[in-house]
Amino acid sequence: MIKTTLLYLLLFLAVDVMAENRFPKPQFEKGYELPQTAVQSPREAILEYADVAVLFGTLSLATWLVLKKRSRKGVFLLSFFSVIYFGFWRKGCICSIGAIQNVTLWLFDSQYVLSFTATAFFILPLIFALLFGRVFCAAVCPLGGIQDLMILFPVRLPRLVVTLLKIVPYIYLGLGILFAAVGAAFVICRFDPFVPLFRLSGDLPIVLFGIVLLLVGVFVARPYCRFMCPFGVLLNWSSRLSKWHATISPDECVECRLCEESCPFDAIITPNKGQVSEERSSGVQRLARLLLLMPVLVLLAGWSVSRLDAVFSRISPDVQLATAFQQNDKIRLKMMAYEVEAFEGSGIKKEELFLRAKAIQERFRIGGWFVGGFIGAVLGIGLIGVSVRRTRMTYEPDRGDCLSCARCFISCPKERQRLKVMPPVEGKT
Amino acid sequence: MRFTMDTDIRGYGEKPKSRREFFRFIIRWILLLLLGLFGGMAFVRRRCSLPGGPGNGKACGGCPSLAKCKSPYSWLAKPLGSRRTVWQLDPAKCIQCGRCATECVLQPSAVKCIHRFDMCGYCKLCFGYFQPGTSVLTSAAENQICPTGAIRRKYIEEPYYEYTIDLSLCIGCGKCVKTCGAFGNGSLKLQVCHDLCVNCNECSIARNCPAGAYSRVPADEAYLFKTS
Amino acid sequence: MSLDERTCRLYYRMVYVLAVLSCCFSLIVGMLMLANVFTVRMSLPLDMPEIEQLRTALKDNPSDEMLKNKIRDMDLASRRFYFASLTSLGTGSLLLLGGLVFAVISLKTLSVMRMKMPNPKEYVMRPEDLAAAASARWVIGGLSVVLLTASIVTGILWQRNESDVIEISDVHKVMVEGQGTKEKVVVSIQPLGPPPLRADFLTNWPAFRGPTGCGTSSYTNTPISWDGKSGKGIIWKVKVPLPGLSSPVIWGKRVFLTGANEKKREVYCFDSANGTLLWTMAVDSAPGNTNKVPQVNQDTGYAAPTSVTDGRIVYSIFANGDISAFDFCAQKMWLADLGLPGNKYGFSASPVLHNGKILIQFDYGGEDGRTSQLIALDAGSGKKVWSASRPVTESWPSPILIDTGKGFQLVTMANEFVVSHDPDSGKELWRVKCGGSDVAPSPIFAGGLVIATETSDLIYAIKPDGAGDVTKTHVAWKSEDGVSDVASPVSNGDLVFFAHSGGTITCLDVKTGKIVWDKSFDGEFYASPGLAGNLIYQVSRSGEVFIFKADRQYAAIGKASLGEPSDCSPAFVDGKIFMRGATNLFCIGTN
Repeated sequence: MIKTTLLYLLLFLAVDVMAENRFPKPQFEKGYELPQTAVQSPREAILEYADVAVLFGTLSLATWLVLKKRSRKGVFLLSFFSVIYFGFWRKGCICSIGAIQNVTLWLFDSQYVLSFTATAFFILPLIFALLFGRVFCAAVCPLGGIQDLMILFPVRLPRLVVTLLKIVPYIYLGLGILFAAVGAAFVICRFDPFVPLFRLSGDLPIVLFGIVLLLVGVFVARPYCRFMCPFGVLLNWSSRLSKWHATISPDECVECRLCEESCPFDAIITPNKGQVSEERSSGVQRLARLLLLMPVLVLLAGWSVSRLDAVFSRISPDVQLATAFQQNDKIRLKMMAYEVEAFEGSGIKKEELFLRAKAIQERFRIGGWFVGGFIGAVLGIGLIGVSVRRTRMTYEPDRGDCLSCARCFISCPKERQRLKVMPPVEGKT
Repeated sequence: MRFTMDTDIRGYGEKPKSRREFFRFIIRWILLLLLGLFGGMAFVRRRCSLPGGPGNGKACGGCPSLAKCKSPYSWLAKPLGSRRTVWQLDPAKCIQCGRCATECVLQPSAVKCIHRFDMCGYCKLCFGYFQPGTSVLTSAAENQICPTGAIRRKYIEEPYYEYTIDLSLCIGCGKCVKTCGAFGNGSLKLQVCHDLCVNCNECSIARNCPAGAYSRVPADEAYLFKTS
Repeated sequence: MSLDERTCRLYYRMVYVLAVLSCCFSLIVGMLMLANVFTVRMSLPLDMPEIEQLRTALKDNPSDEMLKNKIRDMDLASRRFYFASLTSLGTGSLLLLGGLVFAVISLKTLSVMRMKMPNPKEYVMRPEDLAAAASARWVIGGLSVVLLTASIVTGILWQRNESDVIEISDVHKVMVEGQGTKEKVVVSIQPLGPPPLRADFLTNWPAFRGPTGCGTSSYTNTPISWDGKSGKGIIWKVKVPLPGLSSPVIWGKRVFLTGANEKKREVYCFDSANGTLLWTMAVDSAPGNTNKVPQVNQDTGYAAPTSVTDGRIVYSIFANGDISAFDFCAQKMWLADLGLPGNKYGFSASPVLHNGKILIQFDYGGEDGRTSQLIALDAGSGKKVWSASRPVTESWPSPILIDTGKGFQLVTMANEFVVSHDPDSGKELWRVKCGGSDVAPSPIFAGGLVIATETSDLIYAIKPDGAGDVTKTHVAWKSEDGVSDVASPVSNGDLVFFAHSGGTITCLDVKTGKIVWDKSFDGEFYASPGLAGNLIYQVSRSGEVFIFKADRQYAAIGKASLGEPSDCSPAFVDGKIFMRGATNLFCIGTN
């Protein structure tokens, strides 16, 4: 679609000449003046640059608030601002999460025009995460912000459930990239639960999904961010490498354990020194087994996902039409009457449609190998990850999972010391 | 790195940290460099100085016609950034199925009927205005095609009438566009109005357009018909 | 801290009430909006059937003021309703937003007020980490298994149910090059992808004389009148570049045909919808070919055998013994040479496909019949799998593959012998000695009997369950009546019809061989008749097509005309008949 854009522009002069002129231009006698056809221009370019500037500003401010000022209140207010600005004002589009797909499509489709805004929304949060951790999640992302507001009575999910759910974003990311790379769809945008809420209008099922997520978010803190967000995966990786990451204590940890319960996202690592550990040999053996299992898992998953090409490719209207034609499926052809009409009017040969459909399917098949392999690797690494034990000496945020929301700071006595605030007195409601 | 099970793969605090930290340092800076390059490219307006390219050394506006770029290095000139694009529908492809009215994430749709006065025949019997077979040419409801009465009909001089569209009433169903195109001059066109369009990353109408008439067009030429 | 406890309580209660109220408010507004969203989507004033009805009524009665007023009222009401709902949707969402903001703020305050001091439980050394890791492993492992199984099962089920892996053979550059797009789409060629289903063979026309090889089709919607000259009842006709007697073979949207002269041999693929020549592939000399021009009779030509297709590849054999295999997109799969058939009229036996093998009755073994063979080529590679020698000299019929219920047999007809072979090994199963010379009609299988015609001699009906020489034991009946000379018979299982070149059609009873009726027609018959439903189509050499019922009484249904001579048998596919005339290929039917 996008490719042909510019072609149309060149063509439309020609089209204009060809336009039917069944009735001659009127010859007005009484001096009637032909009105201009007025159209509204799109948003000014400068405003788009302003968006990027706001993004950069909020990211910097968030970094300062988290790392230097260590102010939860500041982070909260900033995230409130982000919800208003990027969410309700800018209607949530374009967002960093969706920008993954733009970048992917650009990588795979040489004619796709990647907008500056999309580029900036994609790289800025990653750069900040590489340097300072996930400050983007803390205070800039409108999707995170609206969920953060809803964290009222957080409960802790069982460990195993969390382990399981944390795999979902990887799968979602893989599939999102697959569909974007093939050029078939932007699924991440399509199933974005909160953008319709920002727009106050949208597809009903998605709106309901968003509302449900928000309600779940009252108890399970930020469910989308933790268990769905594909961009969160990239931020997670970047944040692990971060140079300066938020710490719970502004000083040396005194292991008072007061912060243990303060993180609603389960992102605080507790020390495990001195725990009973396993026999070394059995651990090594298991690790060896898991490492051997890994390529099997990768290949198997790659194969099985590549086999889903027919299923996946159904998302493309071209493929839908081609299969309907090919199977001569009367019912579906009837349902797609407009598509058939448009196709027949286009003068394109069916063979070419089949060719296109086949090419899409083929791309899904090849892409399926990679994405499946990726998912397999994620599962394999997950298995290894839970089998390798790291000695953790102090209370510290898990750099991957920590959203730098600054909630835990105040629970640290050292922080209170720094701020010179007394802990709340027991018994006060 | 040692794969010891029980003790030594340390967290962020202890001795072997330096090695870990070093690896992290390297990867971090490689990634930063890559992202920086990528972002830098977004700023640079591409110049087509590619050997074998069409306009050697001349700016070619982000190479709109990369498909035609014969340079073997055309991949270098992937049009990154610089061009803002918005959704628009191509009237030449449109079959007026009516989905613009129903599929837009906005309600009413951001797609409206735009009237090109310079193509209009100012007919007394306007095919975009009157129901087929209308005998008495009055603006009564039973005669009008527009379901929302968004088209205004004004007498100019015999036998000419001017038709204007009240955009606040138009829902973009394209009924008038269809009949005007089929029997008249085709001066009514459906277009995405950019004061309303929220420019979704994936346009919901584009997804459902049976004719594939939607595409992203450069924002400085956001309408696919001549306005004057 | 300066607040005393009572104020605190009061404050807490206030916030509590506020939270409850704002939650209720948001909930109610949300519900109303939900209902409203539905009504707005439903009430788009696009298609109002009531108004449309009234409008139609008005057309019949243009001066009915009552009607007009009614329309106006309804129109106004619907528009009002729509825009009012829109407005309320707008206000609703703002109200909802406001409500939610209040709710969130108050709830947030509540949660802050209820916040407890961190109170870490007693510190335990947690040996359970190991157990936790083990269960996490199980969980992730389980998830992997579930995901893999789910995706494999989905993949398999989907493909089986919908079989919508785009038919690979439909794709390739062929079409695209015509469009002027230079874009090369890389599509891997998988000539041996999922094989077509048996049902596909029955609904298409994959070989000479159709899926059964006996000229019968189960379609009952075939056209019965057309005229090639005026174009009436002809969907399309298209000139075939090179001449040939081969009949069209149809699979899906494609029609295959061959044509040849002494120099060139070509395979054509036409679009069955509009007759566009999709591709032409020249069959070059196969490796090993001596490039000798075969000796042919003018009536036989260089392209008499009909192609055969398995739904993915089309196999064609020519008079010089070259056999080609192209996939549906003109990709050459292989080319083989069987050697120049030494015979006096030209090679004419169409190949038969069975179990991934192409079986060719190659009966040109000279006077003593020493080198006559049944040859089996591997369909995938064109390599010879086996060949079985045959006790016959020359022949022109095509073999048929029959399913006796106890297994497949390949029944061949030739001078002196009707021979049945095992199609998997080529082993001779049974033979019947008969007379005759220069045999042309192919055998058919009808009513449990193999009916073989010995040109200018006798018709034999043979029970196919014997072994060895069954001349004395398994011939059910013989008949002198109706012996045809060129055309093969056709049968509906009860009656069998023979067309003699002199213009006579004879109907015999399959069970007894007794003559039921015969009738002379104004024409010469070389082409074999075809049976579609209960109608027999017999084309005469001048291109007249006689259509009559396959019945115990002769009952003419119609007579149609191709407008040009034809010696080829018709192909029937869903409402259409494909026929080859002397120069054109016709698609007969109604659009």
